[in-house]
Formats: sequence, C-alpha cells, structure tokens
Amino acid sequence: MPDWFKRSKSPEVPEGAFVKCTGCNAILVTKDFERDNKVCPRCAYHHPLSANERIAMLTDEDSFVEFGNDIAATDPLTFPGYAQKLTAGHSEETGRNDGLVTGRASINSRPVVLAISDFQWGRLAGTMGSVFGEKFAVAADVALAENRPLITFCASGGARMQEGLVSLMQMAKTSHAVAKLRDANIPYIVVLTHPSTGGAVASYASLGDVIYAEPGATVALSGERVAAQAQTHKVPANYRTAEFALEHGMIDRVVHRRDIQSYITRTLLFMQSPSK
Amino acid sequence: MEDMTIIEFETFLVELDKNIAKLKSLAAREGDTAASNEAKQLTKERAQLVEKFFRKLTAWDKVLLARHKDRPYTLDYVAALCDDFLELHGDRAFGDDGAVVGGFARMAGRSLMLIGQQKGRDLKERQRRNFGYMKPEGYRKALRLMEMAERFSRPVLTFIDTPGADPNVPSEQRGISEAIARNLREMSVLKTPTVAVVVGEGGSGGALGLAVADRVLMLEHSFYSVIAPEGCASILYRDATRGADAAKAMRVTAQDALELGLVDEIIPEPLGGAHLDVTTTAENLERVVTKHLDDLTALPMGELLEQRGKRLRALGKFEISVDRWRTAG
Repeated sequence: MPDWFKRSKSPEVPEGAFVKCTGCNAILVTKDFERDNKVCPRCAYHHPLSANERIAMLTDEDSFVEFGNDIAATDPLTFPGYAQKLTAGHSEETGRNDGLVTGRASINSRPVVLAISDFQWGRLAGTMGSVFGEKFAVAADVALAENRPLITFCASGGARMQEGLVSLMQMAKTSHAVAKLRDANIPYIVVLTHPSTGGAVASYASLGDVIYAEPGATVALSGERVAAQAQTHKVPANYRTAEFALEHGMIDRVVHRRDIQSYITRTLLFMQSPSK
Repeated sequence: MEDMTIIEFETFLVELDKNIAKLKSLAAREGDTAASNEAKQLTKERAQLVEKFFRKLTAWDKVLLARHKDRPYTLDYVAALCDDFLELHGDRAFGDDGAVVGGFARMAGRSLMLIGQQKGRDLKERQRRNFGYMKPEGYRKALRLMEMAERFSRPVLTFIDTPGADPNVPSEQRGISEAIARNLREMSVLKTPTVAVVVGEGGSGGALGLAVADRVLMLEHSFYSVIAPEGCASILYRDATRGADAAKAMRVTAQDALELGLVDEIIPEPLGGAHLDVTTTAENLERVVTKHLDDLTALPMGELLEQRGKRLRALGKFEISVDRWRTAG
C-alpha cells in the first residue's frame, strides 16, 4: 500500500539559491538578485553591499588599486571589547584593517579616487575612527596631487565611540581634507547609502559638491534611538530618509543603484570637460 | 566619602557648614570655648576633606561639575572679562538661535569676535536657549560672525558648553548636519587666529561645530566627549544609568584630552569648581587665552594656516601595520 501520508522528499534546493527581500519578503533567485546589485525587482529595496561589491559594480574591470590598507587602529583607550572587534574585522575574508576602503580606479575610463564605507566590517557600523580619518585624508591627498576627483560612498553610524574624543576629531580632519579639495577645484562627489548618520553626515558626507543618495537610505544626524527619545515634534512619514533630505534641499538627487555609475560619469563629464 | 559624587559631597558640605555655623554662634553667644575650638577643628577638617575629594575627582564627577546648575556660562564670562560686548543676532536666513551668543568683544585690550554656547539659568531662559542645544541657524549665525571676523582681521574666541546639537525634526529639516559640517570645513581654513575653550560640556559634534581652532583649551573640570556618557552606556551596557562607567571608559576629562594630545592647555579652576569663584576662573581664563592669542597673532597668515592644517591632518592614533589585528596563532 502506498504511504499516502508520508511526505515526499522535497526536491534538492542548493544552499543559498534563494534570498528573501528585506523590504517586501518576496523570495528572489540569488543569481538574479546579485545581477540586480541586490536591489529587489519588486519593491526596489536597496540591500546592503560590501565595499568590494560596490567597487565591482562601479569601476572599470580590474581598474581598482587599493591603497592605505596598512593603516591600523591602535585601541588608544583600551576600550572594552574594541580589540576583539578589530580582530574579528581583520579576520574577515578581505583581511582589511578598517571598514573604509580607499584606492585609485577608473569609472567609464575616467580616473578617480574612491573612499567606500563597508557598514558590516568588524560589526563596527562603518564608524569613523582614526584609521577612517587617515585613509580619507590620504585619499584626498592623492586626489589633490593627481588631480583626480574624489568619490565617497557613505554608510556609517557616525564617530567610533571606542576611540573616544580621538574619533570625534576625525570629523574635523575629514572636513579639512574636503576644504583643500574645494579650494583646489577638485570634484568631490558623495553618495549616501543606508545608513548615513551621526558624525559622518555632520562632516565629510554633507560637503560634497554634488550629493546623491540611494532610495530609502536613512540620512540623519541622530541615531534611531536618540531620535526617538528627543522628538517633541510631529514626525513626518519619510523622516530621516534620503527622500526627506531631498525634500528639504540637503541632497541633489535620489538615485537608483543601477543608475549611480551613469550619474557619476555625467557629473564628472560636466565638471571636467572643456566648456566649449 | 569615597563613594560620594561631587553633588552628594556638596550637599554634605552644606550640612557641615550649618553645624560649623551653629557652633560658632554658640561660641559667640555664650563664650563657649569648647564650641569655638570644635568649630575651628571642623573648619580645618572641612578644608582637608575638600582638598582630598578634589584630588581624586572621577570622570563622572567632572561630568557633573561641568553640568552643575551654578556652573558659569558664556555670558557670565563675558560679564567678568569684557569691557564691551556688542551682541549680534541672526543667521540672515531663518532665525536667531538663543543657544549661542556672539558679537564684538573687547577683552584685555583686544578686539575680538566672541561666540559662545549659552544655557539658561531658570526654566524660562533654559527653554529660550533650548538647554544649550544649538540649531542649524545657530551654527550659521556663528559662521557668519566668524567670516566677518576674518574680513576685519579680528581673532575668534569660542566658548563651548553644550550637551549636543539639537536633534529634533525642525533641525533635521533645516540641515543640522550640513550646518555643522560646513562650520568644520570653514573653520579649518578661516583666515584669522582662532581659540576655542571648553568651559562646560563638550557634547560631541554639537561642540566641535564651534571648536575647530588653532588652539583648543579646556577648563579644569570641563569634559569633552564623542557621545554623551549616558548614550554610550546605553549602547555599551544597554543601561543608560551607567554613565559613570562610560565616562571612565571613554576618557572624557580635560586631563585625558591633554594626555591624548587633543587639547593644548588646561585652565585651572579654583578649589571646589568654577561656580564657587567666577572671578578667579575668569582671570585664569583671560590669562591663558591672552597668551595663546599673543602667540597666534604674531604669526604670518600663511604660517598660521599651515600650522592649523598640519594639526588637523595629524589628528588620530594609528600605526602602519598590515597584521596588527591578525589573530594570534
């Protein structure tokens, strides 16, 4: 007698063949999801990208040459748990010293300097410590010396409290680096991705000649918890998002991830080509 | 006594002073020599206790002192230091922020642009000054005044005393992040000597927005921190009441900042804190600020800017190593 009630064995599904969209819970085929740069085709939710994924998406093939990865944190305050996080970050497959990735590259054959934040690195939320500040400053120095535009992708929880006041000073350091680019008429483009908050947006990330942002990205000075505690005013539905920042004149445009390369190229073309 | 905070200790001193006063009046009224001697003894012990307590102030005591309800604010120092102060108002775009005051000042025979964060003394003034939380229009007013100082070759002196930048909806709407960021950028290249003094709370980016300068000074019992100790505690320990532990871990005191090479000099406060003797505190402040302004105004502009740029470029603690954090073994 056939066993009607016995469940037939489910077909083999390779591990990781599907992913669930964080935005709408749709089940997506991983291969398509990655081809779409991790943007959901149904709801356009922009999932987080690692720095390497962004570089692959943005730059001409094999054009990216990293620098500054020999700059390492020192845990100046011997802050509880910080050394473990740095070690964990270092042991990730990239073997990097920090979440900010800097290097030379070309985008549609235009030479640029990149400074790209990796939110996940070391579970440190893309925070700005001394290494972040130094790598950003070196990137600006290279941009200045070689007359290349500086392009940064921000994804940050703000200053890195594990380095105390030293990390707050990275806001001053990066803003000064931007001042030098501004005074030398070197193009500086910022792309705000989820989340761009705290000390990052209160410094270098709000100072772009042109500022783009990914749809739905959190863009705000205060973190979610602080914001919830502080509110004494009616909170708009799109509060603390890229769209809110656009509405209030703080950024130039909200740009879908698939279009960002083209926007950057057009921006640089406008800034750099002869006017006649 | 060991476990008391500075505020508890001050309450204890009030009680002690009452007892001393009682003994003294007893001695005066009835010629009680025993009472008189005891009063003398207690007075002596009091002085020793105060000295002992202040020798071992914790980071948390410093936080509490910096936030003390009687702590002198910017306008108290203006009253003590300035022969003339002509306050200017408004950012020319939206409004005038009460959490920051600024204007032409005459101090120790020198004309300068004085800008300071300002808290309120009573509830009404506190509300008007938003408890010292600056809004975008405040940072823009400050920048307007700094740029004017640059044009008329006047040094800029800023006083820092804020829990942080205003985090509410209207401030986000008007670009609080942009306002702070712009100040950082412009102050880093402002063509005039700049001195910033943390006189009370140095609260995060809200403080830094007025504190990028050629010299950064701190009052002895002020503090300067990347995040409020309570905020750090709620992230680190999931417990906002552990601010004392967080203040220690983050090393927020003036002495820490000096050791870390982030400030140039500490301005001494009278024993017991600035609030007990505003005049002496103001004199110390004037002496140290004047010395630094004398040094800075003697420099040619190119050199001044170069020094400031080098100083900003050098901020940070790092080393060159690819495997500093490689797991052992």
